[in-house]
Amino acid sequence: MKPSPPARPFWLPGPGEALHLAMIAAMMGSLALSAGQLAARVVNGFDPTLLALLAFLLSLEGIASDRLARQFPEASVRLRLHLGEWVVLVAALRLVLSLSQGPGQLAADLPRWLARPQGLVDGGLVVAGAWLAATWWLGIQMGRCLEALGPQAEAPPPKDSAAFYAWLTRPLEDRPGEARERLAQLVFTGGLLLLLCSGLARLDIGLALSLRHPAMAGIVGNALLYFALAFVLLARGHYAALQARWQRQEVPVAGPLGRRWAVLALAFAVAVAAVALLLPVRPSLALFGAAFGILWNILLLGEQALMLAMAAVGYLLHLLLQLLGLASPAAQAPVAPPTMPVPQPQPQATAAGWWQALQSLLLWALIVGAVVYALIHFVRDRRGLWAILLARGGPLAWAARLVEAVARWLAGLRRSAGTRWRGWTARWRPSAPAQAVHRRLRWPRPRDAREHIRLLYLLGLRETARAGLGRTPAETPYEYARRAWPHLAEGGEELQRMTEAFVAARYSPRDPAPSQVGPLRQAYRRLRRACRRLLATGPHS
Amino acid sequence: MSGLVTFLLVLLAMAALLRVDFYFYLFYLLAGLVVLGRLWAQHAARAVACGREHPGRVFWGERPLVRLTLHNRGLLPVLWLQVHDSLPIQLRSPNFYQQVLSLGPRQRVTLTYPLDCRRRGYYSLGPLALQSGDPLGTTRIDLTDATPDTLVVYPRIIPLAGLGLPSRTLYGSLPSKQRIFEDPARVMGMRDYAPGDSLRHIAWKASAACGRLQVRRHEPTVALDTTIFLDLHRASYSPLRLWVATELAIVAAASVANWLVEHRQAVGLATNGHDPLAGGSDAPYPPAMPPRKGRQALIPILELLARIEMAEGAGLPALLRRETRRLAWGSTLVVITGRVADELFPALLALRRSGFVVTLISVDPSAQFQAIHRRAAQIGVPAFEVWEDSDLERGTLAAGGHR
Repeated sequence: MKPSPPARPFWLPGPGEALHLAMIAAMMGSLALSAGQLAARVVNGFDPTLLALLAFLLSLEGIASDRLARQFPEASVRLRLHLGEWVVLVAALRLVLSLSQGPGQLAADLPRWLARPQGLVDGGLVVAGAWLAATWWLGIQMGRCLEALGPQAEAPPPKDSAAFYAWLTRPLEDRPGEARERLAQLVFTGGLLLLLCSGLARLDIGLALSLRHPAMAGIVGNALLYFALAFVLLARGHYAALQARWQRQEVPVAGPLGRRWAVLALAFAVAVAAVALLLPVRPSLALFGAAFGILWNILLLGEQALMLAMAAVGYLLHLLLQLLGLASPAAQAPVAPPTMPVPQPQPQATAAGWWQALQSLLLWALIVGAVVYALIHFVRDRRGLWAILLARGGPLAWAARLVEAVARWLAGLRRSAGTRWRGWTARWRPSAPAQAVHRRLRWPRPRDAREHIRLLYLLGLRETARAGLGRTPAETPYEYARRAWPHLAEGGEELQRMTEAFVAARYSPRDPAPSQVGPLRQAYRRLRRACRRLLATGPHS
Repeated sequence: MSGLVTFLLVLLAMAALLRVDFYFYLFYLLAGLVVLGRLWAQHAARAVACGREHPGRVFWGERPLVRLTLHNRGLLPVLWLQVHDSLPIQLRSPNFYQQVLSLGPRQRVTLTYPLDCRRRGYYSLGPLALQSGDPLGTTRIDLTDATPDTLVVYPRIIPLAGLGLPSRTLYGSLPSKQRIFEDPARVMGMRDYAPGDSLRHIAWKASAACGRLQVRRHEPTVALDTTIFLDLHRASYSPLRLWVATELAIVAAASVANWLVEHRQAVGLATNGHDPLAGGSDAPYPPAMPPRKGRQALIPILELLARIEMAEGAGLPALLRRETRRLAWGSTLVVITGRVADELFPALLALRRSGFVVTLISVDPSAQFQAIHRRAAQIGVPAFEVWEDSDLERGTLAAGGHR
């Protein structure tokens, strides 16, 4: 009997959404390609294809990790997640930048990096990293917009319930409309960056400054791809925003409107593209050339008029000074330009070989530690993905198994190193029983909304315990909430809400909705504030 | 879409500065998508013709279907079209009908929705609002069809078990118990001659056959030439039952009119309410309808009753004084009012003395209805009390009594 595939993790998109995310990634790839083409003008033999591929993967990864990170209430967890992610990405970028100049360059770089680890970071890496960070951010923002444009998670409560009236009279938000506007702005911003880079990559700067450079023909493939995908995304976004509005207003939609919309929009775009291709470009260029010419002549005339005026004023001033007898008749002798001091050659500081080796060792230890740490978490955070790949079989399953094995091995290595380190340091550590109380609790990583709610409740209990309102083992959650309520002032309500959510998540057969997590997180924060305030003001009687 | 124009301007500037042909094509394409998209949406939406079909006049309790026809007369398809038809809340809840659809070239689509006519009235339907747009959402087209369209819902008609209205009009078609109203055209049998019988009533053939004198017995009948006086003066109703009582008065008037028409009697209507269709008229109330027979008489009465509303103008005594001048002697007057005020009795007595047969129906009775009934009986006016619709169904008006 074939085992059923595991459930899709919440941060992985569904099949319909995956296509849109792939489109965003392709747009980001196009953007990176244009930057790579510009870089190829500077660095000889630089191939931007790998950079574009990295940007493609980076965007997909960024969107997934953003969704993953938003599930965690603790900022420190989110920060750790992104840090781990970025260390892996920077390492990948370093390799890609070297490989883009050919395998020979990588072979030449490796011994150099081994000898001088600080050589890993150079100007190229910084610039490419900044560009990729922008791409990463753009991709994430577009992904968020798509998420906001998706179907509303909140389903109306049953019509015979009291909550239905509250749902019916809730303030209507136009979240999809705002998301569509934002998506358009992001698309336009990315498009301008792409066009600028692609244009500069094709431009001869020397000729361009004269404004008389020849026109450049040919298709900019990545720009075409970017804007084609952008059109599809924007049209889809507009449809999704309208659909959300109709859903909110409970307007029935007749027939297969979505399919007809797609067909008509595509046909319209193709027709307009055909018309646009028939339009001439040269007259437009000539028109702009003429405009530039006129502008140039106006500038020249203005400059000459200014010079003439200045000369006239100078002459008048000179005459005035002569009249007053202030001007010296003798011409001043030309002043010799000051001579620049010639820099003296500095003696090269020769560092000891053992010192250099130690520096290298330390740096490499740091780099390896950071990369291993990031890799372990990178693999661990994406458990669902590996499980899906394993269930599908084929080469991807082999790759997933390999990645998991490497991560397991690295995790074991780290655990054993940690054990040794703790054993080594335990000799000097004083035994303090109070430390056991303040030991940081280790929480399991929540995988779904149910676990998340339980985690938030337990975090809340930790805060109330710190405030001196610990729960006794014999108390049920409701009993505890009733007892703690009078001491917590405004936090009592939050504790009650968290208790109800916790009991439902703990004992209900139905999975809680992921949308419950956000409000509960807010409740947890308010409870934490109330506990801290209680701690600061002292315990109540 | 914010930022689009800025983007296009920057793109054009970039194309001109960098002199890249492809950028110009890109500009043409994007500008074309925006401009032609707008033109498409505008042209296509304006080519849509819409119409609304419905029965126009419906009886209370019916659920007529309204058919909205949308016809794209143009050759361009309509990408999306949101239809919003506004309706009175009395006919549909929520008070609108909405639908989103797409129309192909020359396509005709009919949308149907029901109305729930449970409140009499004269309703205006619409306006019909259409909304459309382009694929990128750069423009939104709003069109409104405010062609006047009305629907009349007749008041509820309750089939009456009977109507105990007295009459003094001879030679009608309604049987009567009063022998003085015998109709010589309706022979109902023979009897032996008694002294004092008119010689004209002797049936000579029957007398010859029997061997003794026989006289014809004639069926006594009356005609009910009735005019309903419906009082809709606001002061005639207690504030607590204002709406319920006025509606009940209208239902009672419609039911009485219907019963009379079904029994082939002439019926007319006079009211002091406000007719929304007679807005420009200077008269304090709509013109009275003289008694007429048949369905042609009933429909105008029901239409007026459908749209009539409460008014602050003339009171019931003034209406009676003015509108009874044109009525024939012996006509029956059915006066339907709310609270029976003291000043109404002198007016009713005057009508009685003028030869009219008056019947009083109170739909908003006070606690002293017994006293009203007694006082009305003293001047020879039968009084009825109707508290709710079921009173009409139970035959309160036929029994001639009160609750």
